[in-house]
Amino acid sequence: MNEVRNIIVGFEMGEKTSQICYFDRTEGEPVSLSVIAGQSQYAFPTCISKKPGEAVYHYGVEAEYFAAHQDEILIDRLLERCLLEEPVQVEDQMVKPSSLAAIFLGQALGMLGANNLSKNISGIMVTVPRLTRPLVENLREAFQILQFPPGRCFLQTYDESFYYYTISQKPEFWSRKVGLFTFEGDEVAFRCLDVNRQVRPAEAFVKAGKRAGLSLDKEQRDVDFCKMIQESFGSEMYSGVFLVGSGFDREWAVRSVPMLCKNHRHVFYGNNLYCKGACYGAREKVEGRQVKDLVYRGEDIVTGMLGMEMLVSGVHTYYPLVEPGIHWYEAKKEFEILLEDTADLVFLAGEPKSAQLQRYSMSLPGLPHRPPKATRLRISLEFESLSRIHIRVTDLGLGELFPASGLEWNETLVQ
Amino acid sequence: MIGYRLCQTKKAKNPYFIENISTNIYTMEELCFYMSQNLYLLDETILNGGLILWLKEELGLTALARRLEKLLEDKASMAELILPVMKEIQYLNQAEQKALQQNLKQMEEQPALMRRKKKGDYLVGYRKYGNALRVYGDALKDAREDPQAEPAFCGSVLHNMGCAYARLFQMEEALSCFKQANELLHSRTSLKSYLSAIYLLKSREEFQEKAGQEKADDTLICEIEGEVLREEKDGAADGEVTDEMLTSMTEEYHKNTGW
Repeated sequence: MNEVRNIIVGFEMGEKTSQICYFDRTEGEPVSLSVIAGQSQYAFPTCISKKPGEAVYHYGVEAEYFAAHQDEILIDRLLERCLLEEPVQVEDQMVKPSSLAAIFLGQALGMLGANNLSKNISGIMVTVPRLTRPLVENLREAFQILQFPPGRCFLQTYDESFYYYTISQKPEFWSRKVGLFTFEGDEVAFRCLDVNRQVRPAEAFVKAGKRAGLSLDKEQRDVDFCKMIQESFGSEMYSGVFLVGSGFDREWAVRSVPMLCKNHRHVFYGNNLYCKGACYGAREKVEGRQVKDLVYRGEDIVTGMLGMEMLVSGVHTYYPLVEPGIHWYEAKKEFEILLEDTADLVFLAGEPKSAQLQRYSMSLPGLPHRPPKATRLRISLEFESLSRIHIRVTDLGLGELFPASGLEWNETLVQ
Repeated sequence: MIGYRLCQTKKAKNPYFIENISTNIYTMEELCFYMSQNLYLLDETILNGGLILWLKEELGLTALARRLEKLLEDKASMAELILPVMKEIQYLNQAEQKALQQNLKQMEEQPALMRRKKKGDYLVGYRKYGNALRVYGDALKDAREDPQAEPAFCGSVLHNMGCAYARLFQMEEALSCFKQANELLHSRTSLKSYLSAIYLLKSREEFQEKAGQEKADDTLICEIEGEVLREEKDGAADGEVTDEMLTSMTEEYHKNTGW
């Protein structure tokens, strides 16, 4: 490994297997790390094992080996467990998913050979198939356990990794639409990256397409995939195609490969697109934008706006709480207001280009009656998902002049 | 009408202690609220170097602190001192600012003795009876030495002193103040307070005898008797006094008297 300081890491945490790569500044691209030195075995199982009665853990291939041959306790389906809040039973203890994730990430990152992970890694992007609020919290906690400073650990979906990997290729590769076929055994799914260049900055979208089954018979499998290609591409122009996952083989793809390569389309087959895409994503977070005038507008990006009308420095204004363009799981806001003459809160939500914003009113039953400007409220917002915003309001009173009631109100705003 | 305003200045880790009302404040909003609502309590115990230091070190408002420092050196008026504080966070709208300026003007035009009495009244409002009694006592002493001070003024100070003593359950002192107040004021309110104190401290018979001597009308007598009975009934209905209640009442007493 060429990098020893300021390492930029991409970490694909898959349902079954995971991968790690780092950004090699000499090569100018991410380099995948092999589990076995000198070989090209990049994927390792997303699991850990624990020695009974001792705090000794193993990860990946070793974990499977020790579980099978040394009676260690296997803790698999780590990603699935981290998508939820529920603790996991390990021996006679209930362990938080974040603690298990910390063990897994910490051990796997050992592959980098860095003396001090939290010091030598300047940015790490974990990419996962899909995101939930518990997963975000579990991974955030896991990196806290590993003593990573905040602001160095990031999270994105496979879609966004696909976007980053694509835009890190030569521009001619993504001058038109880019297709992605993901093989999972006898199924194949399609996704498409499209860039709207009519706006400034240009906006990139990843759209989910068809999913189809493939025959076990080689000839028929080729026919099935050809049909899938035709239906997915339609009459649209594609300048590049990626094939990922296990289930594709040039041996049976006799007709489908020429169809993919039609019109001098660039076609790549590999298994580390998401991991490398995560690494490019981490690089963008750490070192700034690599491609100018282009923004990602994926399904995890907040498109609407949310705010309140209030007095800010004495001026009546719209105060934005959430602005479009950021990931829902990163959109957090906490602020305090002083009530003038009302006991209801009104939030304004809507799309930036829409003429009128929707008004959401939140009442605060039981709020003690106090004179104007004698009630301070703390308002905290957090996205539970892209369309659900959790609002928590806490009564702070006015210091010792009007002690806080200790009341708290919670509401979920569904957009 | 805007229902709320954004709080933009930070919260102090260490509070500023407002001596007059024995209360800590942590934010600019609390300071502005206290100042705008308690003009008569704004004296050198709050507008001083300590406040300036707190604004600078705890809230990081160096420019405001510098400005106030200069104003204090120049012995600026109350209005000149408090308006920059309000302006720092745009606490008041135009109408409120205008009203505050009028109140300040009105206050500054009042005789010093009246301002001191008002200060005592505000302290009673905050249940700081010990502090209020000190302020009333000083004002009364000066008023008695001032040939221009009207007896009615002394009467009203004594009446309010009686109320403060009554709140501290010092009924002998309260009775004495109400008696003197009534002698100076001869009003229905002062008579009612005086007779009520006799009823509470002594007996119904003595109350009735005194009411007769003072020629109190039947309506007033019924009113007092009704209120005293209601008071006794409410007291009994409150039931058992718990240890926590006693501790809290004792703490409140010490806080209010400073003893």
